[in-house]
Amino acid sequence: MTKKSNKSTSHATKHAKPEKKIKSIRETQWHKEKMKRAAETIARVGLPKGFE
Amino acid sequence: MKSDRYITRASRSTLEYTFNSEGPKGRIIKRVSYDSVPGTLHLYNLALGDLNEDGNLNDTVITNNKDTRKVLATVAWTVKQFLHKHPHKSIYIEGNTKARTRLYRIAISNNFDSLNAEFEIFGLTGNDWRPFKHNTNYSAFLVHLKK
Repeated sequence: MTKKSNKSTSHATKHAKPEKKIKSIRETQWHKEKMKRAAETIARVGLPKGFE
Repeated sequence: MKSDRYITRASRSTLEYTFNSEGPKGRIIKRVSYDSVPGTLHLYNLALGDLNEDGNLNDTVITNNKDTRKVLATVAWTVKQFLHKHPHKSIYIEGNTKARTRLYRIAISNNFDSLNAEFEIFGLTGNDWRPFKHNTNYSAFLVHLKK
């Protein structure tokens, strides 16, 4: 009986590209600025009836 | 929806939706995110970002992947999903640039019949919120479920 080799599996694992981690939009500076701008706009103009 | 859309993956919180734009520039990962606007109780801001090579999401890039209509239909679909999951919340939409805000207006216009059947849509002109009308410039938008 021949012994099965797991060489190809370990080779693939060793050289597999790490999956790209997607940072949350919340971590970005542009999003923080966008949220600040949204809050300022709402504070200035308010909301139409039924929206709050 | 009028247009074909991309399949999205929702986060467990249903506050983030990720999909792949496919076109001549290849596959580009896009993400739509909804976040509570500070100082409000039920208002959530919509943000759309493209994934950069460094793993950051950017909302100022012009992807030009020849699939704008499909991307916008997908964003409109996430609006529906979000409001169905969170019926007491409202969505605030404003682009980082005038061009991006115009793009959001086109997204609403393209999907208006479908959206208007279920949602109230307002546009901001100066300091006034007005019911959304086609071919009108707005600086921001509000969307919520009709009561």
